[in-house]
Amino acid sequence: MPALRAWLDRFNDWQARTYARGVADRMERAADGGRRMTRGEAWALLGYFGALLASNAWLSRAVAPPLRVLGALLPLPFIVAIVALAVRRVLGMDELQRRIELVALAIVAASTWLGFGIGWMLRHAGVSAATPMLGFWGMPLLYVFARRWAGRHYA
Amino acid sequence: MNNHVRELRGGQGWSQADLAERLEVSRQTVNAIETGKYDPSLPLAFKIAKLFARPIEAIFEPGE
Repeated sequence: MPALRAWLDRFNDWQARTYARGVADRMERAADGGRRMTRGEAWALLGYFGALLASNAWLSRAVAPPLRVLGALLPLPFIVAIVALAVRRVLGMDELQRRIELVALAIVAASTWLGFGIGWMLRHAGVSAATPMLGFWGMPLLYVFARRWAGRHYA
Repeated sequence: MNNHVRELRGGQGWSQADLAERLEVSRQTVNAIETGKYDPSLPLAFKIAKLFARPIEAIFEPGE
């Protein structure tokens, strides 16, 4: 009987530990949700694409320089909002996640600087057809890969 | 830097998730510290030392 009681106690402990671990894992997954896009960021991104379309339509009609400047800078408030929200999200992360973001940003910054440098040199030689749009769309893609690499480096 | 976080955690019977919750960091952070892939900041190192009631130098030591 004492052996059975001891076994039951161990079994109860195991059950409690498993349950607690499950709760902790669920909490962590919920916290990981903070890494995904928030509603505010999604709206800012949507607003940015809307402003980009409006800016294109505006610039095709506007002739006066002040109006063209206004049209060209239309997406700017949304870009500022996206950056501010992203900074707030990163500051709310734990220190390892912040390190991963920082490493990813450093990789993107160095690669972009190098890419623009190479593009400028090739353009100077008249053998490059690369446009700034390549960097504009390439940067987010590179950031995703850099972040994944940095995450695996610390895993 | 080498550390004894895994042994100390095991001594308390805590999982990585348990320790992460107590330190208010992610489980990934605890795992990275234990495997030596990440050296914690000074505030986090103090927090770990306080949690295990040991001096920092008893938990973390310079590596090769």
